[in-house]
Amino acid sequence: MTQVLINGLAVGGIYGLLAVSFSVVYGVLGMVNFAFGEVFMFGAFGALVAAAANTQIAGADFAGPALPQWAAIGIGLVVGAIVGLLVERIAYKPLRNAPILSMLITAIAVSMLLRAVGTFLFGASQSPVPAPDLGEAFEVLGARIQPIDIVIFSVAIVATGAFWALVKFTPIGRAIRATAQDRDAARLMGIGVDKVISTTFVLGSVMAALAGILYSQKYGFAAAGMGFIPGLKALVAAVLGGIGSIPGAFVGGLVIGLTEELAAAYVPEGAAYRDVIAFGVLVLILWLRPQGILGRREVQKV
Amino acid sequence: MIVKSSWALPRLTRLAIPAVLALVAVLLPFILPGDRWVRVAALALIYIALASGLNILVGLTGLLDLGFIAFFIVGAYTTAILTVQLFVNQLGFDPDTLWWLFPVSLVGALVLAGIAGCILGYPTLRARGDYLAIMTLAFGEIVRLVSINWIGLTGGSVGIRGIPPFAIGDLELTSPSANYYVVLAMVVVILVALAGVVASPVGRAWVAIREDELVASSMGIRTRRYKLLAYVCGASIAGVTGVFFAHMQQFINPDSFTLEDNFIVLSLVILGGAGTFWGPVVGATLWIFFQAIARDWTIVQEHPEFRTGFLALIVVVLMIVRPGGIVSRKLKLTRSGGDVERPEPRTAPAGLEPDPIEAGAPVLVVDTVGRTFGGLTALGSVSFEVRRGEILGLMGPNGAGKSTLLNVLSGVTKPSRGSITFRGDRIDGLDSDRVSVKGVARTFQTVRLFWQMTVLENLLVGAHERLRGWVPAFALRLPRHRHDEARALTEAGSVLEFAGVWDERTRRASALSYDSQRRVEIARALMTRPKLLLLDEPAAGMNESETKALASLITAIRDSGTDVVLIEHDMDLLMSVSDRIVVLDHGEVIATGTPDEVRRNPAVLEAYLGSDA
Amino acid sequence: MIRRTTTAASLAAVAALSLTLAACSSSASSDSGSGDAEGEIALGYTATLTGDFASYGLEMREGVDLAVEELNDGGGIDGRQVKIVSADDEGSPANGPVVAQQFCDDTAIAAVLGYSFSSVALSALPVYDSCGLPIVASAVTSPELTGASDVFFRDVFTDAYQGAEMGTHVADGGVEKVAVLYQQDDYGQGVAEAFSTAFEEAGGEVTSSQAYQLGAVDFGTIVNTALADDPEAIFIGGFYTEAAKIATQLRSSGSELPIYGTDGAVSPDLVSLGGDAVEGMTVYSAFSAAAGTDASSAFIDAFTAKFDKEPSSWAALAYDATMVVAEAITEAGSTDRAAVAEALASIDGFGGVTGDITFDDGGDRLGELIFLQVDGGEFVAAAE
Repeated sequence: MTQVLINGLAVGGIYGLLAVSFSVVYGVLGMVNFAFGEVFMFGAFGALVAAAANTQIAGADFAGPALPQWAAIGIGLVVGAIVGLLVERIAYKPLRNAPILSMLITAIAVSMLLRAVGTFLFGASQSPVPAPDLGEAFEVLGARIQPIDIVIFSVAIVATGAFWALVKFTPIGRAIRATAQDRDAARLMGIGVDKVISTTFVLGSVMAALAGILYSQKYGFAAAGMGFIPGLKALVAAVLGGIGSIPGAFVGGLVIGLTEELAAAYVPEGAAYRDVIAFGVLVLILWLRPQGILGRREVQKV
Repeated sequence: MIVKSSWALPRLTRLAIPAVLALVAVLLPFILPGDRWVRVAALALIYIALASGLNILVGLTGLLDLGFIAFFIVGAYTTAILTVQLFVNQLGFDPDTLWWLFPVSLVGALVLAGIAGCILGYPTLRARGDYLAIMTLAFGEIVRLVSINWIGLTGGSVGIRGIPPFAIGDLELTSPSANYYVVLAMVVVILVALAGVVASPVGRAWVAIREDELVASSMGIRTRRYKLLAYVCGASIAGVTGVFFAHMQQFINPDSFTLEDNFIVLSLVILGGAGTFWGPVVGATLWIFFQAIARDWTIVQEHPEFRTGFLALIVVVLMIVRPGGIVSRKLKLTRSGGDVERPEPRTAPAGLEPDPIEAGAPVLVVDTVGRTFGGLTALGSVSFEVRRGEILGLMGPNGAGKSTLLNVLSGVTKPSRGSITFRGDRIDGLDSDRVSVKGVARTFQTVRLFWQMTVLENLLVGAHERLRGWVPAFALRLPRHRHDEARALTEAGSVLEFAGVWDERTRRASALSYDSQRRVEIARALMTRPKLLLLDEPAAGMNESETKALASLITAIRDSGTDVVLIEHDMDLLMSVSDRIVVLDHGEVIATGTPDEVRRNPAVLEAYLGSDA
Repeated sequence: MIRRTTTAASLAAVAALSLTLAACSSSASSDSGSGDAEGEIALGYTATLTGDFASYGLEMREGVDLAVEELNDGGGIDGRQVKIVSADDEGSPANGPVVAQQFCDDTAIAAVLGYSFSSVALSALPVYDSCGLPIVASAVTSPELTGASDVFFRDVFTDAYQGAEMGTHVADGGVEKVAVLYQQDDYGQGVAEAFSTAFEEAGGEVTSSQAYQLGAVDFGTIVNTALADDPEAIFIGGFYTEAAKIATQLRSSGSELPIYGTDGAVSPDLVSLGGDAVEGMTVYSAFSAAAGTDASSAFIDAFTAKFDKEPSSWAALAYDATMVVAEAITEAGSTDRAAVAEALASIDGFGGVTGDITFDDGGDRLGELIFLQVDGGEFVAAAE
């Protein structure tokens, strides 16, 4: 049981990070940026390529910079941020006043497009990611704990906490919150709304890239399609937590992670049905509580 | 005679495109350079049907569905399980003799996919649009994963093979061309039925919901029900398509339906033109053939991701530069053309019983109505009445609660307390569509027309309650409905003439001048045949002469038998047309009386001076 | 006005389409001439050549290419040169009938090789049945294909056969309790079922049997459950992508139990993804360069010379399939499809590089498996 809970928290931490990305951008722009799953992927590849001594991109061999691990992770975060920023500037900005349906469709198309670009650059098969040297696993309460899981969970908590504090206490955070509440009013107050939105995208992308890097380290691979299913799960998590809320998104991620692992362990055929269970939870919750677990009911404005 | 000939000509041109396309479709197996391409064409037809089904949701109704393939899966497995698992494996029938089972499968798939559509569509009654999108995605995945994992029923990943091919009696239709024609027949039936439904109250209701859900419901459309109906119709089309697909392939397994197919079908709708009739057809045809041709290209063989990447790129670019997609031809939401000769202006709605309520008797009684938002009191305790045959002016400074009151009266907002009685019936607590059906119509502070529709189509939405009916009846284009629709169009013509905008009847609403927009909005409200009309600042933004003309229109509306509640900032207009005036301030009625009485009332003066100071 | 422009647009679209198709028709007419006047014999080759699971198809193609080269260097079949017409099925069953139709239409094609996925082959069979074109597949192992069509043959063993062989092999090795993990698809299910049945018949006990989705990455909980009943070994019925992760997560959970896999795990990527964790893992295959027999050494040399790498079992099987088809065409004395199919059915003990090839009534191959072990990052013949 302890073992299952620990697995669930580690997986949930990754979902939580990615869910925070979805959640903040939703808060500011009112749209689901499906492409965060791909930012997640580009982050992982950024770190992988930066750490590698030699590498293949688009079928051609390159000498990699072979940076130390911490620097490679930094590069991965920067790559994620750049991809996120480009997506926002090129695809979403022209649609700022378009109907929500157009934005959602664009987001899906951008996600497909980035996946194709990823496949072109890094190939269709999985690339191995060397496991970080974090020492041996140790036992607590009969459960075997992997150091990477501790790292993932603490990084996830710290990053989410820092992000939350940033939004809550800093001037840029105030600008983000003001924009989220009423974009036009924020603009009238002299807030550079475009800049705020871009900043939010960059911050969200850094979180997504971080999640992607942790994921690739834990599971030992990176692949063009790696962000798709985690992206869906994180979306589910963000919705569960009441999309727009940072702590809610993170808690939602943990709930999904734990639910999955518990189901895999205790439901007959649970491992085969684990995705069904995660999605089933979403459908059920939205049936019962359309505004999410921690979300507030919105008042219709005429 | 003149009328007849001018009817025939547009009819002919209207049928030209379908006729050309049908001809091409019929001749295609002879034009195509080999059976391989005939199979590709058959596959394209399957995608045309799917895209057209999804277009009902995404294009017409404005609902995103990212799990649409689930309905297709339901349809395909329905026939596979019924035919192979049940009749062949359990009951021991010879698969070659089971051709009669095909129609049964079709009905079964129609029903089951429809039910799946209901299950998925039900939360639309509550959940927000974007949550809904994610939920449809989750639902689609659940269906797909269940089809993989429920091995006993679906054969799991192995799938179900030995599904009998299309057949009539002993005649097996296995050749690629025969397959193609069978699927073509399906697509033609689907498109013809769809065209019938689109050009009916159902189609107009869908588009109205997409354009402006609140206004749609104020026209008497039960918006939730029609959204659900859109899911059911889209799902049924996908389900039927699934049945044909299964028999065409003679084998299905979960590999045939990937998550990405959902996005591809969606992209095809966007590519061709969401909300147009031919858009999904063009999008699906281009894509499937492009895909089949590109398979032979070296670049695509080395980098297959270029294909979906290319499609995605097109969609991204289209959304920015041309959100309408390739096909720009707007939907025809009615099949009748409307009268050509200028009609008599409407006097009173035709065929209405004489009003049992005498002039001067109260028709609308508002009794101690209050409304609070959170801790904020928008309406304290408002009481007044509207009498038969009068124009009641409603005035008050900004923030007095006029708009809230109007929303409460029209059912947009529920009152927190108090009662509203309209002609003897309580209407507080009713949804705005039911209030509309009771005979209370409204306009909006800022003009809210269905901008993508023509003026006549806007008015037909107003006639929704009288025209509505059963979907299959519209799909079959029963003459009774055509007759009703023609009558409604005649009525729309005379209402437009009455409102002074008959000349604009075929123009798109978005192309109208501001004054005409206002008048069309009033005309549309009149098409619901209201007994009481609520006008929310109709003169806002009008110049003096336009306002004067509006005043006489409002008076004419009263004289033709519809009582009016008028909210207006323009004091001259309000004072000149109102029979009585109710003054609201801080959510309370501070004065009631004739314009002269109100003008002299000190409380009113203070409220205005006080709030303006 | 609006109407006129849209009419024009629609017509333009139709015109564009007809043009493209006209362009296709020229390429297609060259297709149907693939066996033209010089009397070339064409063989169809189709597999999943793109996407996540392209490696099987690409490796098979190498075997086919080598065989064709050798045949043509030796004067072709009955003096007629051999050429390959290739088509990618993209791993999608919806494409199965389209590709099959393409081959059926091309009258020069005498037989079809390849196939990566059983589901694609199954969806294509009705079309082949209608035109009588025989197939010799090299990588599709589903028992569903057994006897599914008179014109379908394969020189790869079925999952049922291979799984059972593995079950017996593991039991013979003295293992009494095995935990089974399998990928939730026709391949994983088939092979796990056959393994479990054979293993239990040989007196062993399957302590648990768990399915996972193809594409899953987290096996922490599955591994825990598998280890809960104290098995003596783990059997993984699945592809190398998941097998590598299961092995890694099994080792990092502290277990040193022996791991048994299937032919789906036989790929260099198993080692690159799994690293040390897959060291010592036992798998099976119909062919192994490392365990080369006399018959295969010439093939291995030729293959290494041509492609600068060792042949995979898929390459070897596809090579044999091509050679078997050549033999059948020679036997039949013509490229008549029915005659070739008949000759294929009566192939008996054809000496291939993967061993002797004979097809049973269901079109399946009878023969013996080779067991391999990962040693120092390489697949070597397992110590008996």
